Amino acid sequence: MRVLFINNDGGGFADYIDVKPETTVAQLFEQRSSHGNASDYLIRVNRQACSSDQVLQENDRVSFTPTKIEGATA
Amino acid sequence: MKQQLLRVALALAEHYQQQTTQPEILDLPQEYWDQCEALQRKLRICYTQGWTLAAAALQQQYTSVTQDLIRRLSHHQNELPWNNQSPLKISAREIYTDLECLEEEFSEFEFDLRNCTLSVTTEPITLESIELGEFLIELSWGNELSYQVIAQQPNPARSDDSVTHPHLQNEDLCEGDGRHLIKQALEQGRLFDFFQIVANILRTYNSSSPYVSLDEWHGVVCSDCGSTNCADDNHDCAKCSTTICGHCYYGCPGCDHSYCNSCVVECKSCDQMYCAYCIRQCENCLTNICPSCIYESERCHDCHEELKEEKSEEQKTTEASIKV
Repeated sequence: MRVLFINNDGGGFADYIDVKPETTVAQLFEQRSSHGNASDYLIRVNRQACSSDQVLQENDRVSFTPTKIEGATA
Repeated sequence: MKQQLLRVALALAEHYQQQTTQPEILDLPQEYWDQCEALQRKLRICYTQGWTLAAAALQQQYTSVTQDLIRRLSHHQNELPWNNQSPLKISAREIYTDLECLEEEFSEFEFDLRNCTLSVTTEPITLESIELGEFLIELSWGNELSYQVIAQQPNPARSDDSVTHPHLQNEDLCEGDGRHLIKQALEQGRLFDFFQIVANILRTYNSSSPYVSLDEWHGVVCSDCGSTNCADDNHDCAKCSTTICGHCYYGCPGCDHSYCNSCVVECKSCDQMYCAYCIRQCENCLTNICPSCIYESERCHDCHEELKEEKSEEQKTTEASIKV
């Protein structure tokens, strides 16, 4: 099953990936985020906030955005 | 409203379309191809004539030039614009969905089709108990995509009016860890992600790299007089590292460093304040004397005069005894 996965963390990632049917948001986070706590991210499916046990559907748009992104000086 | 949103989405989609219609393709490495052909011709002649030594030299050259040709072609292929394109398709429909979600996500959402701008306003942002107010994030797509961040109720740093957020100066956000993410989001037309990333940078304080640290946002308290001043007007004591204001600090004339009141000593002779490292002591009366006032005898003026008198007395006594 194909979903659009967007990781707005580190170097960034946005591409279609294959996931197993019945994969939940929490499982995808575990697979795709080697470090970090899910509570430190805004996790959305089709741009809407979601629960961790939400099951992904074909062509869903899943995005992980850290709640804290450090700025700097020029 | 929906129709207006659709117009904005179409305008943005058109902007992205215009940016991708004329991709730049590098020239083919014709020069290297020509070199290969020339060497090939020469090699054939060598083989026909039986010039084995010349052929061996040409073979080496031919290997080297073909390798260069492969490298150039590989570079050419890597730089093909369609190879670097995002797998995501930028469509008016996707942009429209982003705009709808932005409208729901942020308390204020505005657009101006004439000026090609789209903006959202964050909630009031407070970092480490300092209220910085709301921030307007405005994206423009007139020529190229650019954005600025404008404080709506500015509470700038005391030392610099242009700094309205630890990571914002003159409405330019220093993106830090978000730089690459913002670039990607804008390039791929992910406007919802773009605004979300910028807002999250504004909601985060990186204490290791601010324009003005939040500790010094309202200025710095002088440890001598207790007044609050801009960080730029203050000095750090070179001995005990406390912060002192421009009125309270002492510049040591001996070493030119700044010191607080507790770390300087007064020269008993000229009344100037010197640091503990530069001040000297009269070896006779142990009073503090600065390097300018101390005599070669390592004494203060009075003790030096006393010593002179003693010496002169001694000399007179010696002279008298010689005469006798």
